[in-house]
Amino acid sequence: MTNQFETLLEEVIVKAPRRIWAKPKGALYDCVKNLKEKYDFNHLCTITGLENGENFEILYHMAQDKTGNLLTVKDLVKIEKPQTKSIIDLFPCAVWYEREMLDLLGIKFEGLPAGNRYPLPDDWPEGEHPLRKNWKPSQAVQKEAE
Amino acid sequence: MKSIRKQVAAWARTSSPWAIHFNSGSCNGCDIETVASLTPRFDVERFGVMLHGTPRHADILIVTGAISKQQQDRLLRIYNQMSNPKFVVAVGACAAGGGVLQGCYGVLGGVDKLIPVDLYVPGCPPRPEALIDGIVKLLGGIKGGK
Amino acid sequence: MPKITVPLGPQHPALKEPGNFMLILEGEEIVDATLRLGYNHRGIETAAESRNFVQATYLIERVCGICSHAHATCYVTNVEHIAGLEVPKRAQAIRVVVGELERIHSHLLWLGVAAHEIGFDTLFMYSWRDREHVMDALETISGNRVHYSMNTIGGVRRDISKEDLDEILKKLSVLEERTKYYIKLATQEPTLHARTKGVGMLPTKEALKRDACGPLARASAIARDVRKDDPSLVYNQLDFKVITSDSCDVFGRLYVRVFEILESVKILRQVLPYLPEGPIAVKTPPKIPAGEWVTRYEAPRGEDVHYVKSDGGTNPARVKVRAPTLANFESVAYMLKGDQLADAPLIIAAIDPCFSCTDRATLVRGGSSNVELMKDLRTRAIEYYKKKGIDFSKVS
Repeated sequence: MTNQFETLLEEVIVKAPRRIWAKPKGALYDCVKNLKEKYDFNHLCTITGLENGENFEILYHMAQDKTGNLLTVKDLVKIEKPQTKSIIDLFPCAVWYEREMLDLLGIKFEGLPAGNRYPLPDDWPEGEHPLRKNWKPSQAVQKEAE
Repeated sequence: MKSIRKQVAAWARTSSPWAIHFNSGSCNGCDIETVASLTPRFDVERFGVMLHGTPRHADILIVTGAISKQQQDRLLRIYNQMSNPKFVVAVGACAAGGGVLQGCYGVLGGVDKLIPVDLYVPGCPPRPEALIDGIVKLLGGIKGGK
Repeated sequence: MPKITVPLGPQHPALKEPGNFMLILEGEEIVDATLRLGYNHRGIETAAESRNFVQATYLIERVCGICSHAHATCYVTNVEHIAGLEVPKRAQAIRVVVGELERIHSHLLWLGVAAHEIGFDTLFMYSWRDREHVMDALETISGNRVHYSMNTIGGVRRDISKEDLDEILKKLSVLEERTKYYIKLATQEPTLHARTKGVGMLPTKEALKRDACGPLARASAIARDVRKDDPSLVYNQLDFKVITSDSCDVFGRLYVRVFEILESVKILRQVLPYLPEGPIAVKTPPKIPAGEWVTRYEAPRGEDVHYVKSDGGTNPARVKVRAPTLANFESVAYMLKGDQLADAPLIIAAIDPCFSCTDRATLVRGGSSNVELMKDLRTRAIEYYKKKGIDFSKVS
């Protein structure tokens, strides 16, 4: 099965039955689009964002309903330029996952419409991203707590 | 004349206090136990306690959960909307002092950081019996004029 | 007609939990809805990073008070996979038992809340009374009514004795009988039909597009159930049906949940009397090797997804929780459009929303008073025991 993806993915590892990990070849958006339309990965479980010290990793967990296969596509984004393309036109529910990463990690998504923030409070100071590794509650946050 | 009116008011207050339930950032555990205490097995209504939706009609504010930053203004607003005399019951370990969520950036702390609390019901979550015991103690306190 | 915006929540009699819905109305009809979530955001994901793997289990459990076992199971499964631990068969079976009891309790709870939303308080009281049987069973097993704390990395913490087993099986018979009564009620009671049929329509196509999961998807005729699609624990050896309904409305969601209670009873009857012999847990090293894993688990509300990353230390490097409710909010926004204002609470309740899961947590690392507290406690304990002549300072 892994051979099928050669045009789309690289470093494909099957870690266990139904658990596949890979990196995209080329642009992430096109990769996700092809996976959805051609390979039946029709269910976006979630998107995980994390910082690994050098880069931001964005993990797209996509599932096939028929087989139960869960494919994790790992995309890397530079910390200096945290920007990538939104996939909400492919998966509308991604809007919540992307907003969450925008708030917690500060990754910007092109094409994500303006709207209510999620999940941080309305009066949360700008530029504070709690999931970043070197983040400490700044004075603004602590002051608010008092 | 005035004292009779006061006596009637005190009698009504202790015989049929109306409560409002407010989730200030709880995990739901305390909420379902609060609701469970209204249902046939525990039936807190036999003490005349009724859960009510509007703060303006309520005598007792039942707060569950540590206060999240997004909720703090809302809690204050609801507390201010209640007419005097009003009583606050903090249900659960989180409402008492933050519980496991102590120190989280999204959490302000226990309820008493924001509004005066008359009664703490500890537990994670407290059993409905504990909640009923707490309410009976509170009513006893109100009767005794404490 | 001028458009009016009506805010619903965060504190609203119809919502037991905080969430804000801005409903834009034309007359009584909802033409648009925008959501503001995050009222329950505490910061558990960040907090988990300042705890060790075992402590994080109990923190993750407190993401939600209703599906606490689902979250904890999902998390420990991840850690076990990363560490390469083989969970004993008996522990797996006990996890299934608690998980299915939790599903029954959650569905009965939902039935009560939904009945309350449509003004049928008698049913609310009935279903919550019967729910106490499940709560008793859970208490018999775990000693607590809400946070069971059954899971630990490598197995479960408590065994089920023979006597407890008989007790639970007896309770299941009572529950089964009551569930049949609810099925009769759901299929025959005209007021229930009047309030639920044709309300909150979510056609199959829209549900697929919006990645609906759990009973919401199954009520839109999508047979999506992680227990079947991606089975973990002993689910692949069990015989049960995935209940679906093609009515695509609130009635379908009621139907699916009530019949799922029966399926859960069926599963419990297959597991409880035949619990495999053996240990209930294996020993876990304090340090988990570097690695990452993602697990799906069918919580009562739908598919629960957890991701855990370890960098070889004692604390997780990243814990990500995606609660089922978050995946269903896009569908809620769709369902609200075109319906009546009076039905809004029912439509929102129909997905069985759990805001505390959704807004879950991320806790403070560094500067966190908790971390300091643990260290201080340890130093104090070592000093205390030193005075008594025991040296614990070398024990890590």
